[in-house]
Amino acid sequence: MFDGREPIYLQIAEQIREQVASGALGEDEQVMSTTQYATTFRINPATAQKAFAELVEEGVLYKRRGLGMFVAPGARARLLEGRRASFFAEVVDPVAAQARVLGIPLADVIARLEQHSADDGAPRRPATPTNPQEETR
Amino acid sequence: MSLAVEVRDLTVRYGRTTAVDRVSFDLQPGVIYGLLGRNGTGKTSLLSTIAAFQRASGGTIRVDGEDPYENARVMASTCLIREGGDFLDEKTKDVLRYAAAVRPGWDADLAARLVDLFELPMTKKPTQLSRGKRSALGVVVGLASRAPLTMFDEAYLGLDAPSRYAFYDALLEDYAEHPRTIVLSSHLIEEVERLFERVIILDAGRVLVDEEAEALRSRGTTVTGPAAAVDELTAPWRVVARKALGPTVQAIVVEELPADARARAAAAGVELGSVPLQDLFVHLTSPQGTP
Amino acid sequence: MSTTTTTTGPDGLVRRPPALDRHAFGSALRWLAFASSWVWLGFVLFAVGITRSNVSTVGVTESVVGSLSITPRNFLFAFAITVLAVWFVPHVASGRTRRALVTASAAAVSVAAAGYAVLLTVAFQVERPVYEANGWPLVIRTGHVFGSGDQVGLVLLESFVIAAAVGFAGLAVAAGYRRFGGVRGTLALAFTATPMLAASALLELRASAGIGEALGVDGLSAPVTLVAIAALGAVSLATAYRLVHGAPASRLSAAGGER
Repeated sequence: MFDGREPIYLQIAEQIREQVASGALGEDEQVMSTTQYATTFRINPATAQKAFAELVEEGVLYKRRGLGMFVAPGARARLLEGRRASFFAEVVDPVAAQARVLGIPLADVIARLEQHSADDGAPRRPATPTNPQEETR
Repeated sequence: MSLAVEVRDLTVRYGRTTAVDRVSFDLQPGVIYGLLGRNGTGKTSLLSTIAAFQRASGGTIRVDGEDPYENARVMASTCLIREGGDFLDEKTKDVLRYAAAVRPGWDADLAARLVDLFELPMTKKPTQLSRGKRSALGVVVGLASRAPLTMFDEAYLGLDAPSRYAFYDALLEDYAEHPRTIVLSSHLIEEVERLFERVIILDAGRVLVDEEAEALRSRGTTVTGPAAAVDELTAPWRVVARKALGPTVQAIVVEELPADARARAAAAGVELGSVPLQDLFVHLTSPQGTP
Repeated sequence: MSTTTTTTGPDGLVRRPPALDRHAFGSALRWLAFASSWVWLGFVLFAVGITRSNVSTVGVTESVVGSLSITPRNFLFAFAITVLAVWFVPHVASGRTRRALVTASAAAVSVAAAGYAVLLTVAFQVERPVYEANGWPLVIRTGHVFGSGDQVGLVLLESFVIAAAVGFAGLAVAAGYRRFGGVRGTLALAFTATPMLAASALLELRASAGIGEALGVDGLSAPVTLVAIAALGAVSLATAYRLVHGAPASRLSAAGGER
């Protein structure tokens, strides 16, 4: 757990964000204490504390004095919204850039996405030419 | 239950050799510190002087606001475990009984648990023990003493890997329940770096770094990409290492990067990555690292 | 919990430990008692052995207890050196002050010195009937302020004072070695060991066949001698405190490299 490259508090914070976003950690559910983080992952409790501080500032966690850290109400919604907002800049744009680097026409990328869309149950658009390079994915 | 330490312009000399050269730093109470430095950089002299094992040649030390030297109250609250231990050559059980009698915070239950954990033979003397078991004895005394200022000077290096990890676990567990000021001096950085809250790096008898461990790690960044792009990007930053592999260059910088650094790097086709503390230590303490 | 010599206040921080470190005192006394028991066992064996041997050869011409009376205190000098030298690093490493070790050691040495005084006095009382029964002369040729073993009070007082003074000198010698290391510690014997030699010499002056006679000096009076010896003991103790204050808790056999 927590390989040595990125600062550990960032890794912990990201892990908690993932758990909240996926619903693994529900609203008002208690997060592991700094002591538990310390003894489970062999890290200084202050490192976990630093992660908590960041998440509290973001509104993902809140503190109940004497009890510990809990997932803030609406945290999941806020996280997902934030990720939605950066989805296009952080996920879609690099896909487009990568496609350009590989010489894949964007139309092919769009066709692929439309296939997914059809799988999800949306109405099919008129057929588009298949890409012979598709198998190399 | 934790002591604060202030060190100002501390100098330790042995004849013509200066082991510690006008060093200044604070140790905040209740924090685990990593004291890093290459061999011969004065770590042991520094810790020995804070623990009043020897006198400073110059400068001041204040432990809990007082000079620790021959200060009964402060010395009783300080525990320094050195490599090899400083015990009378008597059986382990007697060494532990002695420690129990003189250490005010001694926890006999913790000591008993640790003796089991490290499988310490109770009827052997330190000189009859292997290096690993001698180190284990030092560790048991250091932890069970619960001194408000506890320092381990590479005292656990003699332990084998599983025992070292058992020590780290025992340390964290006890620290969580009984916070105190702890200093771990080590050159096995990779293993222990996650235990530190703050890091002090000594180099040639001087303080090179004194900051929060995670903050230091955050400032270390690898910059990898085409030579020209990397050099241009890193020009205003503090570069501590630079390796060339054909047309690609990897530079390591120690710098609080500007917010747009990632974007600029991506635009220039340059990748940013993180640097483990061990590598930062190596680069900061090598000749190219010094400012 | 533990039987400690310090106390922890409600804030968890340690209060000033008491001046006499009971644990160090107990350890030192146990070690002195153990070592001394061999000395006194030897004393008895030698006393009996020498007397027996003399009976059949040159005859018994002097008090055997008197002739052996110098030796035990010289052992106490040596034992006192080891008490301070051996315990020093573990004591400081366990968080106690150097001066606390000197205090505890001095207290133990004093108790041992009292023990030696009692034992020597008893030895004189045991010897008396044996010598009287055999008609042997109870002559004391070694240097003492008392003339015969009868003077119980004086025997006790002198034996205690000289043994303690010599023991304290041992502490000073050990402190010198700890303070200065091997070579300079030996040079320091010039002032760490001298009080002990001077004290012994003061007594030797009173011997009927010793330095005194050779120099044609009668020796100082008993009270002056005892006071002088006590003063030398005090000087040794002060020297021990002074030197130990600056002594580093480094292992004398430490490997090279960083200390």
